[in-house]
Amino acid sequence: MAFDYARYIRPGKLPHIWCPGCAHGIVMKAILRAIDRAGLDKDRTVVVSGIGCASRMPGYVDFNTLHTTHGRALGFATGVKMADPGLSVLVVAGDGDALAIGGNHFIHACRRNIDITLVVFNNSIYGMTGGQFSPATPHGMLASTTPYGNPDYAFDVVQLAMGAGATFVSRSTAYHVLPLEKQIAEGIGHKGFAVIDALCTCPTTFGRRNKLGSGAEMLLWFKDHTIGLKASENLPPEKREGKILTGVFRKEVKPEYCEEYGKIIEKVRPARGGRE
Amino acid sequence: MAKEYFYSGCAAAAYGAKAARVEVITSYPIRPYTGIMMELSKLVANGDLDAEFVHGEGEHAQMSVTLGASASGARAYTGTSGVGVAYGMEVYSPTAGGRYPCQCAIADRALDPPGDFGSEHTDVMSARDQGYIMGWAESPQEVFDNTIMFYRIGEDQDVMLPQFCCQDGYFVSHIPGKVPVPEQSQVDEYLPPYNHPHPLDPHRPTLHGPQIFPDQGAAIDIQRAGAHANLPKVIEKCVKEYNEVMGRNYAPMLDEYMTDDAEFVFFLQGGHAKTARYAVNHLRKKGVKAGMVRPRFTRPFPSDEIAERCGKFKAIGTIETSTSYGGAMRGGNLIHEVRASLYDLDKRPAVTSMMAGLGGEVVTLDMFFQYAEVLAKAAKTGQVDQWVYWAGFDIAGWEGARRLQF
Ligand SMILES: Cc1ncc(C[n+]2csc(CCOP(=O)(O)OP(=O)(O)O)c2C)c(N)n1
Repeated sequence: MAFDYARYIRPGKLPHIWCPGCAHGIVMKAILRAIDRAGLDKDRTVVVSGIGCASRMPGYVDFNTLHTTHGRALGFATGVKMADPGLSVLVVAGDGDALAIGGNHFIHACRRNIDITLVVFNNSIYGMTGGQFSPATPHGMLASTTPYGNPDYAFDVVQLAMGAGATFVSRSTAYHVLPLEKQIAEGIGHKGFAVIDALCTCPTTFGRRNKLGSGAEMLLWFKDHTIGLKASENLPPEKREGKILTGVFRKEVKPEYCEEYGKIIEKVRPARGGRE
Repeated sequence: MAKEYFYSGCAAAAYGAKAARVEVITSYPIRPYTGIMMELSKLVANGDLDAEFVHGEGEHAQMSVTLGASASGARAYTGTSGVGVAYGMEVYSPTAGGRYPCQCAIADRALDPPGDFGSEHTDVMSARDQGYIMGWAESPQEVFDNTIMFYRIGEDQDVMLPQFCCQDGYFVSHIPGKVPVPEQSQVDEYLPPYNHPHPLDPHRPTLHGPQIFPDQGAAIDIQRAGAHANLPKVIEKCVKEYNEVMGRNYAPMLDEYMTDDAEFVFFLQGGHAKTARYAVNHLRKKGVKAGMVRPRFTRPFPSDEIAERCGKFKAIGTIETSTSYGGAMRGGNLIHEVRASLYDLDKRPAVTSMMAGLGGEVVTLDMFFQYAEVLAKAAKTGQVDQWVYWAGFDIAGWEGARRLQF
């Protein structure tokens, strides 16, 4: 049976702002299917975002949603989760939102291992503001602010998240929708901070300038330029060259932040004469 | 000879910065300011402007890089809009207090909530008390000219202060207008190279931003205040010279329109002054003695000039393009300072205010006509019925506007 997206969409908020060929909608649908697959209660689920094209997503979906300031979604989400740890909290963010202006919150959320699932809509560019290079724009690529090539080097979201201590870290693409959906569902089920690097496309401000073709062609590029983590292990280095690895890079059991916080309260409250 | 170009306010700011030979540019995209940084990034990439271009990872970083560049002796240029202005806030006092005369272009934009891209002055008006020089341009030409003039004023050794060089988002930043661009030699004659007296220099180490003891606080603050006290004189000199070198005709502080015999005036800053001029023209044709006063600077606030030149009006209506929730007059910001400036006069005009131009709203001729009726009544009675009127909400009777229209 076809998936019933209508159950999760706010029809009054459509049409959406995304350009033809933009893959943000594909990632959004993967998130909806993942939420469904994970069996979350709509009324106990909160989707938080900052600012950007990706960050418009919470407006379109029928959960408790909070659209906040640029880069700070994880901060707001941390407040939501701490106030009511029983809520399922998802954060969606563009690569600029998550890694540039919000980079600080990103590493600290990873470090704390708070039970939030972050999906980075990684389209390699600041989409909303007109294609300026972001910390995820690959070296040498053209952006509206680097007409002769980007001198910076990009963050690898997976490496960054692992280095900062996130306990679930994965990567997929808008071409590989089934693994993407599965990873998001797994991230939601994971107790701790989960980061899903969802590679997607911005044909309007990134593809066109770099002559990467239509939105569909950009998706096919993902097909040809990625290899699964497991498959890569048996390949000689020359076959891995220039390919992006996808899959689940880390899944680790480690005490979760809200629980640890609760334990301290439990321990100290009686000793200080408080309620038990 | 000056060549005439057709520039948007954004392009005018970028070409003004180029003419001012800025050496370090820092950026972070946010519209409508994005237009300025995009123009500059092209100029730098194409080799038309020899400057370093640093793309920050947020406005906080952007403002910090600007301070650092200025401290090391470079003429530094930056800019932002709306929530970007707010996010850079922490760095404004260190920049002004450290006396770094860098420039921050502002193409203003409403703050959240909810997300809105339209013009409103509240963003940078919220940063007005940090010590920056600050003023709005009415047209792309004035944006270009202010960019150069503000550097000259800010870098004066009696001043040494940063500047917010402001323009209305979209109404000025994205609507092209004629800009006569002077010869580079004229600009160079007017604006000598930036000369920081104590730049960071490994051969002559200096200490910037030391931690101080509480009893040193006021002693440092009074220097920042003193620099502001010097400003009116410096502004007068620098504007006069600019007019001479470039063949312009700017008033240093107050731009007046049809004020000689005016009974009441609209008092407002920025691009909406264009509409106000048309409104005055229409009202004059109907025999209504209206005028307009536009402050070219918000900081320093032109208190002396207002006391000197505005006491003769029977009524003044400030057009508030920014909010001051819970403020003394319960509406915007200008009315507070206009009223305070007039306080010592024996005979004071009636002063009221109109909230308009918020969240990108167009201040229409109708709104001016409506408000003219309020002001005409105040001029007659010498009394104001309300401190604040909200255009489109509590100014009664749109019939009145139609009656006055042509
Ligand atoms: C403090 C602040 N600075 C700048 C902006 C302007 N801004 C809006 S969206 C955006 C970046 C969008 O890029 P990204 O986060 O990668 O998401 P995308 O639009 O590509 O999905 C920026 C810089 C803002 N809203 N707030």
